[in-house]
Amino acid sequence: MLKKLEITTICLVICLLLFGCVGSGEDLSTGPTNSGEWNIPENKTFWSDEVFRIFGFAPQQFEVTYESFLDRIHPNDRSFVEEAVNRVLADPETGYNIQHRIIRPDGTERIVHERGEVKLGEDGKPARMTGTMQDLTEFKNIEAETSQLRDELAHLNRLGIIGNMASAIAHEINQPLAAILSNSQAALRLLNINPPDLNEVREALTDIADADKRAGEVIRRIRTMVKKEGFHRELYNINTLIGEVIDLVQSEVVIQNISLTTNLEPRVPGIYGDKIQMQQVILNLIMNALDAVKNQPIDARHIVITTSVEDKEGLEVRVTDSGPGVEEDNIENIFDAFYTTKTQGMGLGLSVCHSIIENHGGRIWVENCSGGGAKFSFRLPFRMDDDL
Amino acid sequence: MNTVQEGTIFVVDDDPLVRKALQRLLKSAGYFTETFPSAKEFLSSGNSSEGPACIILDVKMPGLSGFDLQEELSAASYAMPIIFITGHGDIPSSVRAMKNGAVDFLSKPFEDQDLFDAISVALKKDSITRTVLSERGKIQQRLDQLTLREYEILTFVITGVLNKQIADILNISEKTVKAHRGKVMTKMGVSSVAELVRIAEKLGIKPAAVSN
Repeated sequence: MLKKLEITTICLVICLLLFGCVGSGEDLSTGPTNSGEWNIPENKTFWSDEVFRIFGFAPQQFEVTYESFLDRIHPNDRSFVEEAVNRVLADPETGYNIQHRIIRPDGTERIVHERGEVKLGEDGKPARMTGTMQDLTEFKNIEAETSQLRDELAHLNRLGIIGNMASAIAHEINQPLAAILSNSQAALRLLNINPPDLNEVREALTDIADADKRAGEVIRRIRTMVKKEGFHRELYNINTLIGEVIDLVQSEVVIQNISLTTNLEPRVPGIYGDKIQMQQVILNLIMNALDAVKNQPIDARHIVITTSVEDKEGLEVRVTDSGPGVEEDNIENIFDAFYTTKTQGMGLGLSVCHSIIENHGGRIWVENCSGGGAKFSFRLPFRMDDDL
Repeated sequence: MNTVQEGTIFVVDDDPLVRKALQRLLKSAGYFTETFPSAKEFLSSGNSSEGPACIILDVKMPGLSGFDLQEELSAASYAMPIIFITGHGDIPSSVRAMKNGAVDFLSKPFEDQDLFDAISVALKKDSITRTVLSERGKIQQRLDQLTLREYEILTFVITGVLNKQIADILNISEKTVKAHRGKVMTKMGVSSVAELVRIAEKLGIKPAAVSN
């Protein structure tokens, strides 16, 4: 677990560095080595040597036309690229900024990022299109890897520390529940017999009590696991930790068109506790928020994460979403194990959050915002007693 | 209440609490039950019963699973109806079980009435299977008494051709054909050709090929 997280973090840093570079290359003039220009009326294209290399050719190996450019594009992306070109030709204001695949002569696939702009001639018609091309293949591979790691981590977190034992736990609970129901229904039937078989009823009741104790034991085991297993204390900054978790969910946020913003108190004191458990709490809360807003209209999908210092009480973290909010009836039980309002949920995420925050000597609660949406907050004391 | 119900219910579940609870519940409803902690013990018990019977079978058990047992049982000519019970209740496995002929698939915990409904369907199904099998067995016994010649005559009779034609084809006298035919009807316990045709169909006897 620790190792995986470390790898994830390292990958993320690499990614951020790489994508940071890509993202900053907004101006077309800074990349003369991988640029191109298309003379539209004459259909002649100039490619820099680097563009030929990206396409897998020797510099200036052939005379490039629009058609020969289209030929090199992955067949599945060809119409998409043509559409983008036609769009920018029809309305130069829209710009040209796309990613697509190309096929090299040796058959290998590359992913490229193209940016371009159209210049109009004196007649007001498109005269030239200039642009840059970047080979994203390596970046994309890292992105895919990061996304896989993120999925693994998210999966672990969704089910809490007990991970994929969730289904086994459901089984463990359903067994005694089945015994309880069948025994009590049998007892009712036995009482209706004349004369009632009281001995058998007594035995049924004894078995019901046993089954109930067994179910309780399962719940207790889950709590103990959350409490004791892998509690590693270290000093960390909650803002940094929130940033790391946001990085993990960033692509999900982008895909779902969600605006995720932070409002972090810069002078937060360090927290002494289990960093990984805290990461799970924050990831769980953000995942729930993502779930809550994803069915809202696109311009109404907001998540805000706030940290603040509440004097003596300690540090407060809030995750506010613009989702449908929590039904009043559910507010009481939402942190209970196996309590869920989701069709796919096990009802473990928030109960694990609850246990973790309690183990850190803090408390967690939920309230509905006046303008709609839910706000999950937790407070952590600045100092934790050593015996916790 | 507690009237004795016809039928034997075999309960196979590795959880002693569930096993005991089901036995108590079924007994309170008047069923005769036998319980087994594993599929293996059920198999080695011989698991036969005089009257209609069915199995209440847990899906997840150490060793042979409920599905494994279902597969094993369905390989034989007679398969006892199965009601699956599971603590997981996942849809894909229930679909698989139902496709393989299970009567029902109940998620634990389940209502007693749902179980009794399933049992009633299972026992009805088993009772029909048993009747069909025993009828077929009786007819087969009768068929086994026929001589080769009589069997041959039977395959002609059910095509509807006349005695004379049979005699011509087999190159024997019409009188001999008549005698054989009488014996076939007696041994098969039928009084009309129509009845004989129906029985032959049930047993899958192919009529002789007669060219007109």
